Amino acid sequence: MQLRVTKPLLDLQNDAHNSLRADLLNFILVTSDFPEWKQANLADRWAELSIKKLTTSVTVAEQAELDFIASIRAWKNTLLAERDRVKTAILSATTMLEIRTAVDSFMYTIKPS
Amino acid sequence: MSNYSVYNNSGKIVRSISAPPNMLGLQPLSLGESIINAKANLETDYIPNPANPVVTPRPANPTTLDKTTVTADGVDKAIASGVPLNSVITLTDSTGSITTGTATTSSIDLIFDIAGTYTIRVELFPYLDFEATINAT
Repeated sequence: MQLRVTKPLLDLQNDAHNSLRADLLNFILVTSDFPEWKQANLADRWAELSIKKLTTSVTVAEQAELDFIASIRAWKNTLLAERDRVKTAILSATTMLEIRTAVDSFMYTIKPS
Repeated sequence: MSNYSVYNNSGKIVRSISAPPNMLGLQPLSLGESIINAKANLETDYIPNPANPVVTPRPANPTTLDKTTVTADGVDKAIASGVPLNSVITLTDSTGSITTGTATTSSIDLIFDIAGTYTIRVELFPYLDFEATINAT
């Protein structure tokens, strides 16, 4: 005989997805020390330097800064793409084991420094 | 004052009374209830044979668990063995959510899709209740 603690598959999938999103947010904001104010500052600086590059020119140091910001944006986009990949895997899973396997497959890449 | 115990026709002790013997007749008894001139523990004693009432400790529940930590993947399982047939098995998580079933076999696979800390309770009178904690991680 078996006694199983479970809930509908859709609920298990939603729980896993919500947990994954929370974990990812924590990874970006806390683990990677990239809180929203730093993200906002970086976005502002990116816009500022990009406009300067288009209208006049940028120094070598400014170009290096642009390249660094680009690498940070690429890092974050990689994580978001990974989130979407795992979300698809979670939603196509039919058992809790498959859901956990999907969640565990998330590749957390380190923020460029 | 004397100690009395009221039991039902299943042998379950339902309440204890302390009263003078001449007041005993005033004690209300429900249908199927009887009274014995003995002190009994409501939780741990019973009357095995109501026709020949003797206060007796309830037998230990023979249920055992092979482990108390499992992976909440819907595959890993804890096995409850020695479960008396027809026992009511209840799994309660920390929010009070309950999963329950009646034992149709003496070996029961406990499987978890949801991580959490669960209290398992196995109840079948006259056995003492079995209770343990299972962590599904």
